[in-house]
Amino acid sequence: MPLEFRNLIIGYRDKSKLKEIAGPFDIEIPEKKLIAVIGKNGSGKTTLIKTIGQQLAALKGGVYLNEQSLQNISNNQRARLISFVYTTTLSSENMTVHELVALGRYPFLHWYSKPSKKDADCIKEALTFTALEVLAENKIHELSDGQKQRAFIARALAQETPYMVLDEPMSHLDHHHKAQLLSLMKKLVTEKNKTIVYTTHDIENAISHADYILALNEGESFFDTPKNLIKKGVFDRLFPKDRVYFDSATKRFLYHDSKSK
Amino acid sequence: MTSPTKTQRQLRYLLLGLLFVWAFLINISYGSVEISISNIIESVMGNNLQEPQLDYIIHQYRIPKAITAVIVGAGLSISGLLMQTLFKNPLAGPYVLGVSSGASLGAALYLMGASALSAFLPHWLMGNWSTTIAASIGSFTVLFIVAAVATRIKNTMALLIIGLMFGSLSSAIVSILAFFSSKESLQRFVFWTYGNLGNLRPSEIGILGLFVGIGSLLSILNTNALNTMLLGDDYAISLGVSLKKTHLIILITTGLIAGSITALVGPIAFLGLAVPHICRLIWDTSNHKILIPTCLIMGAIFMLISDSISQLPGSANVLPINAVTALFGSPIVIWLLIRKKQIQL
Repeated sequence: MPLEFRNLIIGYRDKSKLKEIAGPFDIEIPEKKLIAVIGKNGSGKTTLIKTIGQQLAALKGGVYLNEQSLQNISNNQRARLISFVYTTTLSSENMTVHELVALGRYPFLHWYSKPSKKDADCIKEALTFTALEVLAENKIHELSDGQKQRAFIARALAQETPYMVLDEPMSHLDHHHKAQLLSLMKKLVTEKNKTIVYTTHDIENAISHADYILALNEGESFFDTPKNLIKKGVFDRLFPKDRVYFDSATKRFLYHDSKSK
Repeated sequence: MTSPTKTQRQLRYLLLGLLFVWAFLINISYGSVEISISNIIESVMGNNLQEPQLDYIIHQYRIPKAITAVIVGAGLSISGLLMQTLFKNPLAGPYVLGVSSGASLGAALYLMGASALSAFLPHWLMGNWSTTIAASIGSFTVLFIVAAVATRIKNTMALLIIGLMFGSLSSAIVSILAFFSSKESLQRFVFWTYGNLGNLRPSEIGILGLFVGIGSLLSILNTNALNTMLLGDDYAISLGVSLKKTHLIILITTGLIAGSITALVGPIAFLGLAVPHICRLIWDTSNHKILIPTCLIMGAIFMLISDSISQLPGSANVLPINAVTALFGSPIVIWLLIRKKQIQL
């Protein structure tokens, strides 16, 4: 069930004018991988995510899932295929972690129907997987930023979608929680067979952890494995002040800002 | 801080139920003549009382008024809850849409504008129902405009501002009308704004009950969608909620409830804003599955008690119900908020 961008141009419609931000993309997202979308502010990361979520219409082309344009499937069908974790603050944090995660089951409920045994199992499994069982009855406003982010991932996990899209999941976190979140995301890919697309400012992080990177810069875009992108010199060209190198001692790709040296 | 357990929940529902029965009986018992609760129970059971006039008062006046109070209280609270969730704003209430401003304008136009022309208007237009009809036309005109705007724009904040503008516009027109109208018609309008639960015919109570019933049913059926709206629009969309459809259902439900209540009973303030907060504070939750039934019953209790107080037990005077709800309600909300030290939607 591949996710594809076909001839996709993203941007905004301002009255009758079209404001193109990035594209055209022709990309088939490899399944069961961790995919990072990187780029500076305004490069189109969030626009891309909104376009996948159908909150913004594509200016041209479309997002296809399983050969079907996302534009043509119902909201409910889409909610069963892709789940999202946004950066927006909630209108109300006066709900328990359990209640938040339970909302992930919305696409499977009809009107006023009560959650089934399957729903209850999914919620429990999502809480266990994100190590939130002990906090299940705590209110969202009582959680730390790292715990909150895990709760949102648990909510998306309860939605049981093959695809998960995360907008800047690590932006408010310190190093320790970033690492924790990344290992959770990797675990979702390897153990739950999820395909995860996430946006980040942190190029170093994307290079060392993501399986694939979609790099956006002023309308240009490149999609490949981090290794190949480095070979092609994409990072040097797109982010010229930033340097990426392979550190043979740690066997990791590292990055340093030439300005800071 | 953890959520109440199942038995704690059942206990609280039981307490609310008992409080409701008590408030209902107290409401029937108070008035210009005080009737003992044992007399009320006996009369309701179908036994004739020793004083037949009490029977008459109970069945013809007190019970219809108590039922009206229940419907009005429940209806205003549920629509207040819906508005707060829709606009993600704790200050929203059933009247932010401007629907009741429309009703006030309709009533004002009739009571202060048309009565000046009454000599020239046909008799049937000046009948008993006219204020109600004028207020209904006012509220449904505004509801229609709001719904039409809502299908065009996504932004709920714009709706909120449009509602406020309707409020200002109608109060401006009302002031102008009041300035030029006679003392008698001005007084009639002022009395209308006080609200009156006791003036409704059985058919009017039926209409009110129908609208509030439909509104409550629609809210209950949309419990899950309302809960997803607590996460914000992005999440609601990602969960497959059709925002346009849900917004429209909420707007029409609230409009019908607030519009019909204002038209028939008058602009009862405050209750719709306060009761949802009281319910959230009692349960310490924002879950609509709990809030919707609690708002219905709590709103009814609040209205019954307010009406009982307005009867000024022991005296022949009656206070305007509209003043009593705010007079006794606001200190309760302030006290609850100070105790909890924080407010959440």
